[in-house]
Amino acid sequence: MRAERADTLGPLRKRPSEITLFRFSAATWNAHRLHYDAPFAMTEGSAAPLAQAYLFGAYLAQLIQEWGGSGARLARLDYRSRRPITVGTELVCTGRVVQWRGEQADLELEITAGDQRCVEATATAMVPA
Amino acid sequence: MSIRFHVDSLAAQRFAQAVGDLNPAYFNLEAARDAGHPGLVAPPTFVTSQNSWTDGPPEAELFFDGVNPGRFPGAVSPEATLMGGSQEVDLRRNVYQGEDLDIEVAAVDRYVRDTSRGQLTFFVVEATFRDVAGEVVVVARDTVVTAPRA
Repeated sequence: MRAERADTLGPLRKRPSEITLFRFSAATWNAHRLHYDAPFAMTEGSAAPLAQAYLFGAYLAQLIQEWGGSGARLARLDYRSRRPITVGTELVCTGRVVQWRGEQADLELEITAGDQRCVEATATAMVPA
Repeated sequence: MSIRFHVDSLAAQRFAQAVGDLNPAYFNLEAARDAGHPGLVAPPTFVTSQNSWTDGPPEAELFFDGVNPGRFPGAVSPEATLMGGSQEVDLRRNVYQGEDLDIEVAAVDRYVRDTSRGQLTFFVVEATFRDVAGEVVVVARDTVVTAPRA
């Protein structure tokens, strides 16, 4: 690790509410009812509206930026949803540095809900010394 | 055919507010310049999270579940449930508020897997974002999953 930067990221805690999902759908022009229409979500087999997968990507980008500081730049983000996340779920976003290559940090990230791993990701960030 | 997308400052800032990501470089020009940027930065996944890079179709042309038929060409239909999959984003540089990007979208793969949840179809769609100089700024590869409705 580099001395000036922690080798772990987070935790960044999130709890996407109904308002979060509404605003994120609006900001991404996403009309999919699964994210705001509870009766419809139930017909699709979900107990409640589901958070958007893209929201998790945005959470992970925030996690990396807050760790890397204002000069850091996200260069690559690869994330996969492993299980659906319903509205109101308490989420914890964390990560660790796998290796440094000069100013480039290779990262492993995850979003968990309780003891369940919901999103897993790898990323690369450029972090000037 | 490419789509011209203007990285609107207000839209980018609303995205950041929805996420709860209050990075000053998204909102405050002085803070952005202090961090070495030429202008206000767009959140890294703002452009790749859009469900449409245009005004989108009229409501009557959306599927009954609200899905935009044009976002993942060939992948979505009223008979299938669309589920979030994964996304790989390659960011060659920061995207700045106020700039214009030209976007090309291509379907690059399709495959079927039998799972405990039935037969799932995976579609891979790639979007390439170029700046006005023609340089690739961002490449996003989405894998979306559909399942037949019960």
